[in-house]
Amino acid sequence: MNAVVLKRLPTGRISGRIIMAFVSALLVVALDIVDKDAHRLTISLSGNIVLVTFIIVATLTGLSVIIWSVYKRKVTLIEQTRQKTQDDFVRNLRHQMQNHLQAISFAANHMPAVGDPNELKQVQYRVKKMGELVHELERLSNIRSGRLNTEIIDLGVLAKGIVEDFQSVRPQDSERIALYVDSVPHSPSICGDEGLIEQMIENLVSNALKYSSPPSRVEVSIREEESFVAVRVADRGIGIPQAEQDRVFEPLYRGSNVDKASKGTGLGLALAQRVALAHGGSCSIRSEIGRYTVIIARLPSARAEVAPGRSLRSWWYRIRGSRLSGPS
Amino acid sequence: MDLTGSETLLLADDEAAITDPLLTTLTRHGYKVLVARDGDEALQQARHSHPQVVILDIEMPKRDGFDVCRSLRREGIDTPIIMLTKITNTLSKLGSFEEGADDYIIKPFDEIELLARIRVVLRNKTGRINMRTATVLAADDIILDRRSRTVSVKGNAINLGEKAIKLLDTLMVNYGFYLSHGELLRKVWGIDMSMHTMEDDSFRESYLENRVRRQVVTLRDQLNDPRDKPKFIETRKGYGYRFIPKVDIR
Repeated sequence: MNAVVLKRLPTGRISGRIIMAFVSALLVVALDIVDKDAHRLTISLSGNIVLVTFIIVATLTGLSVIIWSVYKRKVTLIEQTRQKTQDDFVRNLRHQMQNHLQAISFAANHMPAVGDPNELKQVQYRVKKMGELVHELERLSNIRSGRLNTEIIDLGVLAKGIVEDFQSVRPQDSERIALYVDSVPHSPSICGDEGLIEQMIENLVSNALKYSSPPSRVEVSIREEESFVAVRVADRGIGIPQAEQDRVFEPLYRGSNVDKASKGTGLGLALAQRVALAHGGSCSIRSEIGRYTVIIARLPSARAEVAPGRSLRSWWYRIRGSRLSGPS
Repeated sequence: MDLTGSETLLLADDEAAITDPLLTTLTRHGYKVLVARDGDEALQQARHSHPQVVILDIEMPKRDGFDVCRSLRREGIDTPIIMLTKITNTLSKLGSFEEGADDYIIKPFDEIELLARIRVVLRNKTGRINMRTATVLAADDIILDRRSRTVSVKGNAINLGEKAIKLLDTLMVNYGFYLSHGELLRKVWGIDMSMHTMEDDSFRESYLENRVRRQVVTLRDQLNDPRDKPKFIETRKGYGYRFIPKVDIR
């Protein structure tokens, strides 16, 4: 059974019902004995066997449900502890690094002016760059489904704003970026964290522009595909070697055919993938070296959340008497 | 008004390698500087020495910076506070700086940048401590209910996204003062431009400023506030955006 469904099983309610059944069965047995003593009612042997079997089955089921819920709680606890340890580690690392960098920066600033002033500038530049990297790495490790600040977002509107911003600040690329939004029969909406989704699309567009040259086009398309909304960003740029395509989403990874002097932290695609995963979606890549790169981020459609029969979760809710709002 | 010269600043950080050079710089710029080495000391000094600005590191022995900030605000002390970190957890919530900090700056920062932030918080010192915790902000026809995250104009609810609500909230709390693109990016979007090197994408700054502009335009449209004759949000080139009417709390 799907882990998501298992997590949502209302074990408390089931065990409550089983305990109720168990108590009722005991009551019947007790009444049976009383009745027998009073010589008012006799129950056949087969009737008693059915009763005892029922009690045994109920007890065993009850016990398994209790053991299961204890196990689930334990697993959750272990996961939470692991997560906390990781968070603490990242936070401490960030804190230490930032303090060291700050001290270096101040020390460099307060040093008496000797030698080439450009060297001091280099120190300041590198310190800032490291600080940026530490900050971005912490941000990356903090993107998690439990921490999203979600709302309904019309991806067509959001992408239009992003593309227009790119066009207005990079007039040289204005003609290169094209946006296609498939909003028939309805606008492609998702339930997500707007700040993160915005950053995800920005990173994809920025990468596409960076690794392709004018006059080739960068195409951004948004369309609903079954229960997902696909954000597709395609460029006709340098491409990514086949053997490296699995690694492009790794933090700090940079393709072997990328000019090492080109700027960037190497976290753009990693962040995009983390954002998609945290929203229950995915990020994939198709590319051919020297020809094109297409990155597709799929995010669960806001409609899939309420549409019936599309997930085990909605199936479970329907059995339980539809707790979902919206069309059924 | 010359703001430097007589103000007392409280600098709380357990790293001498950070406080010592800062002490030199801040003193050179005319500030009187008190230094606290842990959270308890910071709290005591903030209570009894009445500094005009408190600069708080987050991770300190005995009591962390958030804790000190919360305690001061709970006691009704409205001294402007600048945190030496990003306020990650609170920025996602409405009301932005719920811990009660006025601004933040991410390490490693330039001393010049810190001096600029100190000047801004001193200039904007408003005694508006209650506005940060109020449930409802009201100005003329606009009512922003933080609990239900709804905004209404003349009694009609308008449909605003999270960012637009956060933007309106920040502008309302700072009514009467201009907020620059950089300040709005920090307070509404949680992006601190000063920590980026800018060399990567030279266009990033103007790109992000555009993002603020876009959101302000959307908000203005929703509030039906004309740009040329604004009733609520005024734009002034080189200064930023200002919420015009007086805001009351409920």
